[in-house]
Amino acid sequence: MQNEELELQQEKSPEQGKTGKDAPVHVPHKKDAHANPAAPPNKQASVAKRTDSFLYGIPQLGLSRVERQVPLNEPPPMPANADLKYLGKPTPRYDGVAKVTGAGKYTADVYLPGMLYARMVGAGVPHARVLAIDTTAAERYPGVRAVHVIQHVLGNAELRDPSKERPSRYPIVRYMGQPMAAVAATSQAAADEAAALVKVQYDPMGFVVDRDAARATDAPSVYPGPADQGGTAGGGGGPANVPQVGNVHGPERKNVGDVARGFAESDVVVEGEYYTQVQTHSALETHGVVADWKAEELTVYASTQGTSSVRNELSEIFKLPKSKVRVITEYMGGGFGAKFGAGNEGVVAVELSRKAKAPVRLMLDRREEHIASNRPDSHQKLKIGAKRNGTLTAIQLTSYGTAGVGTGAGTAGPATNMYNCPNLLTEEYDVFINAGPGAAFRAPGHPQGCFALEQAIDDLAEKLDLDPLEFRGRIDDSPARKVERQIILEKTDWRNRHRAGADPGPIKRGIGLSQSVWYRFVNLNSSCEVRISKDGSVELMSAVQDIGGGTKTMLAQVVAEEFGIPPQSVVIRIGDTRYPIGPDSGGSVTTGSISPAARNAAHQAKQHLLAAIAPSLGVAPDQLEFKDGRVSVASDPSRSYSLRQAAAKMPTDEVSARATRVPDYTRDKITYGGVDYVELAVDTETGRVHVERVLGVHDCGRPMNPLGVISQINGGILQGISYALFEQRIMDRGKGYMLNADLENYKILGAREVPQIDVILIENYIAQSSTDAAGIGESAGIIALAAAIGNAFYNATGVRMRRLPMTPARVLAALGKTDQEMHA
Amino acid sequence: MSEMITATRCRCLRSKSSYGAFGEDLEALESTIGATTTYWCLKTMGKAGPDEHYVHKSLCRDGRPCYESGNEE
Repeated sequence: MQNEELELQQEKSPEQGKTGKDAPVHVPHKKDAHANPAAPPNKQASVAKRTDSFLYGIPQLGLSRVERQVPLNEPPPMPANADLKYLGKPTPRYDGVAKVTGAGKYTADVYLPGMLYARMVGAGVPHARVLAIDTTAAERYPGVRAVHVIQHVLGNAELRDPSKERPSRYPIVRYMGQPMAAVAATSQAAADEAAALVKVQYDPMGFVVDRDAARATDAPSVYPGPADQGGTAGGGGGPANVPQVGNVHGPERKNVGDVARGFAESDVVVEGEYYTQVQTHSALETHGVVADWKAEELTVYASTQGTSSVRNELSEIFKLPKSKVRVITEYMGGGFGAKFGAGNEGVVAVELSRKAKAPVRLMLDRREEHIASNRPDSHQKLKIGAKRNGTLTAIQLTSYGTAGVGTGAGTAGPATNMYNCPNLLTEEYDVFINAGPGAAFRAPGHPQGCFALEQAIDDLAEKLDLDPLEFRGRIDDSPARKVERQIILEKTDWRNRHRAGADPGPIKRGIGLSQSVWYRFVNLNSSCEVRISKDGSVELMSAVQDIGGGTKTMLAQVVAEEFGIPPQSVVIRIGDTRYPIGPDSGGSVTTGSISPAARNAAHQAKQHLLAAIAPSLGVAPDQLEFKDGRVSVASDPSRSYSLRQAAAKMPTDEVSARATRVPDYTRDKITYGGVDYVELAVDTETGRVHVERVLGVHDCGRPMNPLGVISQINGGILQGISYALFEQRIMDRGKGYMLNADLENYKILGAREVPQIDVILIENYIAQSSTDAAGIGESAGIIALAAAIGNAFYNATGVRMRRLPMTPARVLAALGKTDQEMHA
Repeated sequence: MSEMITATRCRCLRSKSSYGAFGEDLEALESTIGATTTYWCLKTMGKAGPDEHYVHKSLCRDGRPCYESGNEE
């Protein structure tokens, strides 16, 4: 190792952000053809570094070593999983017993003395001005302690064109169920009854809940404008290429090379239109909080993917110092991207608690949950050109999608980032409709984008008379996916698959696959404290939350590995903003962000321990080594002590260390992904599609807990099947409400539809942090499954399914068994 | 370009993108994965700002009546 003074690109420290800004996220610098020229320059700072040699690569392709310059206080490079004791080993959930016995407390399980129960009042029409809200009857209802009406901030804004819409005392209703008010009472039943007594007087406006209808020039406008934002003398203004005409916002355009030239140079072109539906998040635990407003501190128990994001927003909204807002998420029942920030329910619960001077629980009911958030739908037009030798010449994607009253319906991620293509043009449009807002949903845009891209790639392979796997090998330079495709070849009957539609009989079986891509993001707001007590017990503390992915287990493994003690003996205290700040759990950032901080804190705590006990052992600290859970004198191995014995020699009752995530060692663009293989049966008489087997081969850097990673992939595969075959929000075009906002009519995959699932993980050492870990949440099956099912369906029947979900009615229509084409 | 965007984006603009809440690197992230970001306003907790126009990175900028600078403190 050699020490050097290097210029380091400095990331913002967690608290350096401007007031009101959220967590900085470290984005790798891009080197490829789609590099972002607008990447913000970072300030330079001088940081002492050393050079370490790291394991690099994928075992199946041969491991090598690379040198990285790392900060001086980084722990030594970690060996391969095979050489570790706890990390990389299948480890049961740290809190599994607490979860299955009910001992684990979710937000809805929190009971505080004197706690009130709240219910939101949702808009009863899809689009209207609110003339009056009368809460008199609700306030008089027995047990009611507080009523809160959501009001706009008045007087601080003027419409750009006042003639388009008059200022309103209340928010304009833009979708059925939009939060209007809330009631807190001594029981949930009383709150529910009282909420129904809130009288809202509407001045209805025209509405539209259908994406295609909303694109018409004479469609009712969800928003009164404007087309774009003009610049001022001081600068600003929206980008000129994002206009809005009526309800259509966009396009967001990416243009690389020259697609017209690319298509002119192509030998083969495939073109198709693909449709995907709105999927609601349907987390088992609905959005909700328990808010407890006290003069000295606001405490909020929240079902959130980001304790810090909730604290930061409530701090700003209620003008409280962050130090006086505490957010707790001990257990969390799913979010899938929809639970960041305080949310309407969080703000309203705090308002009610402040008014009632009592804790208030506000959990959305299932109907509200379905309306609160969703994955936008899409209508994609995709065209791909290729040469006879199997190289891509051009990709052109135009997509329209609706995120209801919000934006975020883009689908271009896979088309942009999966394959090598010199000419790319993507144009993404958001279409506003009077329906609940879209939100991030597990790999936003990617299941939609993959559904189109990966089926088109199969079509292209067929036109080129190439095996789809071999074709992907020619256009995909990801080493991980190369290994994953090879494993698919070895573990399945791929080579012997029949030609499309060749299976005789009414039950037709087919096989297909799809690839996925996701990205390495790192959140530097990731800190841990590790404490060693004199009795030898070890604790880790961080505000990071475990949203179900197994963060507690993984952190226990990290600390256990560092100390050489069993994971079960490490106490993990997380999900509380009183602890060092943790990252929001979204975009598969959690493990890759927090695990290096945990290891570094454990490593430094260990050094503190050695320094503390060295005098009593009569040696210098650097003569002590920590190995296999024991502290030994290097020059005299007979002097060896267990952690408990060593800690007992500390002069104080405890030592601790806190570490914060440092930036990745390089700023290269790094992606993850997988290849998912599907075997299915199509009943051509009933239209039923039954997925019989899925093999998922995936990579996520160093798999920290294979059991946990596989569990996430199992979940992603199931969610992907559910998306492909069952789930669909259905809107009433005449009335404007969601027809199936419940779990009876909103069909989600059940036990009978679960196939055999096999998962194979590959190790991919990238030498970027002290753990080399990454997340799996996004790329875990959900991205690829719909496309893989589509390709398997084509192999089974010879018919291409371009519309989701693949319901029996749609299947029969596609097979020509019915006269009616399904467009719902 | 990026610095100008950062400097002129309203402090009340929030994003529920896949990676949670983030700040200055919004453009870089979006250019990677596409226009898959949803926004809301911290003042209204909704998809429309106090002026009843929708919330978006291209609109919540200096010049909009309800704009609040992130540099004022």
